[in-house]
Amino acid sequence: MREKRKRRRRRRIRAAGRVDGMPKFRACRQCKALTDGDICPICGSKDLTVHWEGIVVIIDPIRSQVAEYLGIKRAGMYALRVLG
Amino acid sequence: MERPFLFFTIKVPSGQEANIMRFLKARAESSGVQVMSLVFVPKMRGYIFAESARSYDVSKLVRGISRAKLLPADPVTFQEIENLLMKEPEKVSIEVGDVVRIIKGNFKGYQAKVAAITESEKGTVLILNLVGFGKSWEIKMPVEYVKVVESHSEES
Repeated sequence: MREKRKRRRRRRIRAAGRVDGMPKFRACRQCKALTDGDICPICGSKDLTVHWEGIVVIIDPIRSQVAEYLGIKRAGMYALRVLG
Repeated sequence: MERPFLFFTIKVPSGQEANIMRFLKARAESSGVQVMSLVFVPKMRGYIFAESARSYDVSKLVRGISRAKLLPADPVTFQEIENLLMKEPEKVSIEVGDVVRIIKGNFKGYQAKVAAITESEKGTVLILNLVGFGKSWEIKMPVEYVKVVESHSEES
């Protein structure tokens, strides 16, 4: 019973990590935040683009060195570079 | 203030970085593991860097995910990651008539004269006339691929 539960849990975790195809994220031209919606979750702008590269996920913006280097002050998912 | 954070490498399938990063972000927020950030650089497909003080936190984050594996290699320092992070290129003032040297691409080493400057989806593109050829040869090149040798305003 315990083994069965363990196996089911493992399968559930594995399934969560397996998502086929890249989600169509778009980057905000103002703050570089990535979103799969129509509005930027950080600044609320509608100026989004599909031309971006690199991803940075900031979990703790106060302690993160990457956030400090890139000048990011809010947690979230950002593009490294917005191309156009 | 000295920060002891290091970057631990996570191996993921190439092309699945965005999905896995989104999943790891949700997991880190809900479980409260001490991971500060995750970085994916396009030059290094299939690898994610996790910023944390201890490898234990990162291994706890990826535990149970079959597609993400924490590599047992030595952690990377911020100085090495800094080189990979691309900051926006500094805006160089290039004008029509400037002589530039091509520093990247097929025409590397050649000199050219700027004929026009256009804006495209991928950024600023220059239309250049190669110097030193018998006939005029027009090429298109991104602004990052050239370096100003002689400014038009200096000449006049």
